[in-house]
Amino acid sequence: MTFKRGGLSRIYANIFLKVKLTIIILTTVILQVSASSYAQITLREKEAPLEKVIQKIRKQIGYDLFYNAGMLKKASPVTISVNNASLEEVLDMCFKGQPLTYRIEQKTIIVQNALENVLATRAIIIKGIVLDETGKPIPGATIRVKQTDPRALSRVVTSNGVGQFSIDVRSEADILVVSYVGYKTQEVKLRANQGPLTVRMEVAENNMKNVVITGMATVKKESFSGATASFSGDDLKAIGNVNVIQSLRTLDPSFLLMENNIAGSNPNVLPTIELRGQTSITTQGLRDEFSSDPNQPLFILDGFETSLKTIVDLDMNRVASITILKDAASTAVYGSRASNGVIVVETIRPKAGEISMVYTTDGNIDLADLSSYNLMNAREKLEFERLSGRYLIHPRFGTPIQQMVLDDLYSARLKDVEKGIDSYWLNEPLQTGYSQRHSISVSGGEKDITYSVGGDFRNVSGSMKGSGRKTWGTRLNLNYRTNKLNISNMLYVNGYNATESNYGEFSTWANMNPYFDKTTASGRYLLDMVNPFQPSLVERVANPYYNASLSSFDKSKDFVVTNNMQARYNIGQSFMLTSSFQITKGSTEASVFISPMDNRYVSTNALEKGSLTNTVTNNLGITGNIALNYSKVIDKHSITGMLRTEISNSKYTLDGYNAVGFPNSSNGNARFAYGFAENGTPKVSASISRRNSINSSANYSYDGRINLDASFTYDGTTSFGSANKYSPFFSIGSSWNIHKEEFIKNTNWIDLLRLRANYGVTGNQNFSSYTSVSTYTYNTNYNYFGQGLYLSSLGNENLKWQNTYNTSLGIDAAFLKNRINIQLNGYRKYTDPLVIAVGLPPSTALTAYPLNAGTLTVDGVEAIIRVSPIFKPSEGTVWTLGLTASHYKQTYDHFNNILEGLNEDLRQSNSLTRYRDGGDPADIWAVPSMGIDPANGREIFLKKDGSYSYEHDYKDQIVVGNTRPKLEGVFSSTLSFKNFNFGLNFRYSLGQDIFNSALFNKVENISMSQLLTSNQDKRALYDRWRTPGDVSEFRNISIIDLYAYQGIISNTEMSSRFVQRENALALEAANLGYTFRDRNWMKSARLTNLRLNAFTGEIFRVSTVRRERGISYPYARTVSFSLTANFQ
Amino acid sequence: MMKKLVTKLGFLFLMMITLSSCSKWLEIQPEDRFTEAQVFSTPQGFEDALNGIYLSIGGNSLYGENLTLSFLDVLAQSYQTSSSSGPFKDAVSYNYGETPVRNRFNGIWNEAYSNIANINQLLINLDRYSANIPAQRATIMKGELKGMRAMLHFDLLKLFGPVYNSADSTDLSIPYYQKLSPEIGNFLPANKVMDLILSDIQAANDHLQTDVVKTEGNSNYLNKYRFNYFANKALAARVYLWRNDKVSALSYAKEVIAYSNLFPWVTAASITGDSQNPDRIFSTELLFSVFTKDLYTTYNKLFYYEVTASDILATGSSAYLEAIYEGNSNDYRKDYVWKVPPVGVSFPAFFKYADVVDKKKNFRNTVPIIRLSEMYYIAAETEPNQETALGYINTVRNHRGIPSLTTVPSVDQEIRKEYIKEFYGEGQLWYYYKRRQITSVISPNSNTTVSLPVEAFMFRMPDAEISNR
Repeated sequence: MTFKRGGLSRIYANIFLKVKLTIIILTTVILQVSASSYAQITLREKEAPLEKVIQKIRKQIGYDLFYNAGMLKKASPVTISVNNASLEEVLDMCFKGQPLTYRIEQKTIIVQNALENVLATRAIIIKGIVLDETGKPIPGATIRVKQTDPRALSRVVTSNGVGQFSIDVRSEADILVVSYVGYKTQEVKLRANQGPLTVRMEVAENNMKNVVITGMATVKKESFSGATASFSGDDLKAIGNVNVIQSLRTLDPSFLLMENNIAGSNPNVLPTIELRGQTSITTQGLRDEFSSDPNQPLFILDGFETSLKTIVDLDMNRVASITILKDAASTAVYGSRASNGVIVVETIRPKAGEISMVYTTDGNIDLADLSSYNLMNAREKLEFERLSGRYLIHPRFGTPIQQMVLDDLYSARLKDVEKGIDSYWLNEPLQTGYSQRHSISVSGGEKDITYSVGGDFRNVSGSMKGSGRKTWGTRLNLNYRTNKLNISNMLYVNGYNATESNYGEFSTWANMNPYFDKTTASGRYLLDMVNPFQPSLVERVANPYYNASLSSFDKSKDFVVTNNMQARYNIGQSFMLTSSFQITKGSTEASVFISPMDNRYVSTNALEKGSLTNTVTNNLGITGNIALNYSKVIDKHSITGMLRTEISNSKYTLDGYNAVGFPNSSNGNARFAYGFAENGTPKVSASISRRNSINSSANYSYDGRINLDASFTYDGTTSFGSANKYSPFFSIGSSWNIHKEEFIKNTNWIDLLRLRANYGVTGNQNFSSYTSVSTYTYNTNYNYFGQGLYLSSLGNENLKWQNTYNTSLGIDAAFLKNRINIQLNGYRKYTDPLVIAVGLPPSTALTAYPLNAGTLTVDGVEAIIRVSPIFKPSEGTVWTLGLTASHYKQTYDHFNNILEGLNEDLRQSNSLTRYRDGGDPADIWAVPSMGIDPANGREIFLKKDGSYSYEHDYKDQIVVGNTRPKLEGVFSSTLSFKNFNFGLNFRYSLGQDIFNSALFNKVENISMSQLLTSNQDKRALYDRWRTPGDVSEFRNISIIDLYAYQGIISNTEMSSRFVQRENALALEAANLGYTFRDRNWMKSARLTNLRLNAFTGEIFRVSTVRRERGISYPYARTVSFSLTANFQ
Repeated sequence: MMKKLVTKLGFLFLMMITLSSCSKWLEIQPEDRFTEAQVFSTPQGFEDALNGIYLSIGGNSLYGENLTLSFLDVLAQSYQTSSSSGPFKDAVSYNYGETPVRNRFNGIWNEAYSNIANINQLLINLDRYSANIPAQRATIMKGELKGMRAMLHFDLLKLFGPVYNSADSTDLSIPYYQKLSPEIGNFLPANKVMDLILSDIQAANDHLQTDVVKTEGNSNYLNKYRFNYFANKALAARVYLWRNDKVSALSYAKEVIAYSNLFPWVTAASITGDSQNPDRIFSTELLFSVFTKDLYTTYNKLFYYEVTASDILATGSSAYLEAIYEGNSNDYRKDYVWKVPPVGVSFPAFFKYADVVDKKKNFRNTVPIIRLSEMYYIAAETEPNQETALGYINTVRNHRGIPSLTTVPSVDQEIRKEYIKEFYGEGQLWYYYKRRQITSVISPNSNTTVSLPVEAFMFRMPDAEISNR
């Protein structure tokens, strides 16, 4: 079709538009077909008329041509020679130096006079406003008209300070493309007689890195001075699918998961988390049943404080983003709760549009990792027993007849071993833990009302038999918005059922002697024998299967309903009022039943056999806040501000009882108990905590180059003294975007270079509510005068808030088109004063008095470096190598020996920690050991005065190590290639000192009775001293040696000999994924996206120290897979 | 509609700001415990707080067991005790470094000071919330509290302090607390502690002038469970005697003796008349005692005749008892207290604290702390006239069912014998030995005598007391 444009051209205009609309519709439908016709043009012409050349081009690519024949006569002839060039390239050559120009509209080449370009077009002015997801105007958004004509540069505008823009378009059918950093690019189709537009931007989830969600506001990262890290739900899911905590750990170096060597991979034990070191001393005296770890960061879920438990159980598929706020500038708005940092979790909000559905299923396989165990086999154990003197009579009190008895016992055991009995008990309580999660969410809605409903169910079974956790949740989100008002309501109902393994502690099984035959084990005991030397003593070894086979249980159940309501209202252009209100009600019931048949009740009165402990915890929390936000851009000055007030009330109650005496066949129902434990009282406690605060923050940015931040919070809480209910917190910060300065702008290899610095004060209120008030309780006793009240705690009315003074510095940089990304942070957290429950001399009657004493300084650096050797995002091929590292040092000071009482308690409980000036919370205090005397197999200690001694004296204790790694982090490699992605994350930790309790308890310190009941570490047999002259690491193998009646203490004391330097490397997470998109077979199933992923967690670990990990519950190696399907 | 919403939001905003500034809102009252303000808002609160102290000193760490039934008497070699097994093996051989002994020391020290702390706090609250309690009742309470504060410190001084020799001792002893605060009290010289004890006794005396015990005596059985006017007087006699101020000791002992009709001697009928419910603690004579709910549990653990022969606290063969009770038959303190049981051990078991059949008897659950007879012994020891002194001893003997002594070689020797007989299971013998610096004592653990190391007279303070300073 060729239109010749003459005088009638204006009559054709209307027809032409209609045709064009048809074409638009057609091209939309047959997009893929037309995509192929963007084929390359090959053309060879010499001095040919332009008209002829264009016709040839038209034929090659099948475009329509639209021109005025008269016009073309003015054209000069064209000489061209191209091979596989694009349409634009060819036309550009053709029209070079011509008095004409062209434009391409849809599939039509329109030729026009160069001057007519402007005149010929009807100018339509479109006005509008760009708003963010919260309804706030976005200044500086880019608006352009979608078209292929690259010369239409004049038609790009940016929104002004209040988000408004005005743009000329030439056609009412044009499409506007609105983009802004951190947001999804939006296309807006214009309509005939288009009125003022409102463009609402959606946060781009893959692009969280450009904004910081503080939980109270969303700020541009570019102008913010705080040290933060943001991860999208996809980032987290790319690491693993267990829970967000596990993934965060791999992604950010300052987010540290403390090793819990006792609980291992027990799915029902919450992790201990620290962010940038500690700010508190965890003494029991200051905590009640309901307060959380005072070194744990604050968790904010959709704007409201939540518990670690909720975060661990959170369905990862619901997470839109997680932001870690590390320093004062980012956390000071949280005032009294902020000193350990804040983790802000945002869940996915409903989106407008067609109904879409996402379904995800995750599967995990947990396999116990027993590689750290180094236990003897039956033959080795028997040999060790022989060498240790188990089968020898006491050198002084023994008689030859006793020796005969022992000889018999030994030969009986040996016979068993020769017969081939060698039981491996470790795998008995274990299973392959299969876990699965199903998660579904449906969202949709019209422009004004959007909704999403969803649910998830997760069934975790741990690596120990019977151990498991079922979590479930449902949700309903509704969102209503008009031009100025936006109301959303989110309702969650969730809960869990947790069961502990009926196989008890893993250590019970690890301790079993291998020469007992497990295949024939039955009844209560494996061994039930009268001690030949002491007939009153019966030696018994319990059969671990026996207790495991009983009806005992340990389980808990939880149910939580949460409703969040948020409202936003725009007042004019610059102000916005937001308010939110949360109410949450939860209930947890825990029951522990020990069967009356349990071995521990063998000699208990029948009316006291069996026990059921039942506790019910209820909580009700109400939080409300209201905030006024302001934002304004005047020329180069951009100001944002927030003023907010929040009020919160939470109440916890706990009721519990302990019933005893159950019939043998009891199933643990309290109905069958004979009564309550003797002198037992119902356990009841309650706690109310309240908080109110005024928060404010402001940010000023000059030309995006110099930025200033300030915040001020005035917080009141019930946690501290009545004299100190309120406390102020503040932060100031500044950042300088060097890359926006003129002198850098021109260097094309620096994309980002920002310096940040801030300082501020934050607080910590994870303490019991009644530290400031003296309280009384009734003592459970009576006389003729009745009951009596007794002072249960003396409050310290003058207790000061625990303040943490944060200094934070940082550099963000990106080079070579974002191929190299570097973030470096340095910080100091100075907590002064600490709040400690101090053990004063008992004569003061204050054994845990809350006092302000001492200071704690944390100095640290962290680095995140990412380099992409292959960086072709447009082709979907990116290979990135990453390295994260964290190092910090903590120092106590200003205790002035006030904590020696605590130190004494710690010593007596065999703890290696001490509170001393100049000390570090992670220091290991022990007496230095000079090793084993080759002459006699005894340990030699180094005394303070430098002399050697066989005597162990606590006064000689010094710092012999530090349990915190000198350097810890992750190095990673992630490769995405088209639809594939592949990631490896290795955790390294260097220079960590470990007190190896396996050496202490299973190589040495083995008593006669432990020999009888427990298997030991192989090193006890192979590496202990035997005869004079042996140079060995461990003490004399003989247990009833001459020591005992020479008056020498035979048990080993804690000394530096058991402290070992550990360097470890573990493959913390690996993943392989593939995404299906745009396949024909998917269309028929209305599938838009299908993603498959496979993960492994802690699949291997190498360490320089051989020690038992996972004492009560083994560590697990995890293999998982995940499938996500998006339906439209 | 929009306008309405704005108004509403604005109102909410204002309300929250108002609340935020309202610090009353942050003053919460706990539900599972009581704050001071709650407790002391009614007279009953003061009564309960006072009673809390009476209940607590009757616990096993103090007068419920350690200072009466078992520990001090074991140290005084009153019972046959194995030195190789059983809960008292280290105590009987004075191995003060061993954990079981240390635990008892710690228990005594910690509990005594914890009660002193409660006393001090209640004294402060009596002043702070004086409007909530009638002044007269408050005065009596203060008397009881200060008297008890003196008594607890005095017992600590006697146990942990130095042997108080004839000169007024200036050796460092224990801290004396008159208020509850984190300020750590210094170890004071023993004579300074004595002065403070005496000033508390004086203050208590002033407060207790209107005590009903002065008219009721033990006709109201409840009076002996309070630190009453006469308990305070008797304490003064004890304290002066410890200080070797015989004149003052005598005068205070006599003051109590003058009112002995208020504390009638035990009658033969009450101990022999009702064989199922004998009053073996002579409850009518008690000046001060504690009600111990768990007394019979403790009794069954320590003295009950079915406890194995190696662990039971008793004296072994009856020959020893015959020796210390000097062959007197019908001594109430022997025949009705030491009996060979029908089953169990084959030697006499100690029945002093055994339960009675009638659970309504109001002398049940009672452990004596100060009894009238001690005043007679103090008077006898401090009375310069030997004949008068012997008269005091005879008064007690006659009320115990044994005949008077006529002439004796030494009154002191007789007093010592009487202490052994009178205070079985009451702990007073240990204080007597320490006061008299007696190092060679009669004991069922040996055929002749056992020697007490002089170091044994000073208990060791808890490690935490020393290391926390």
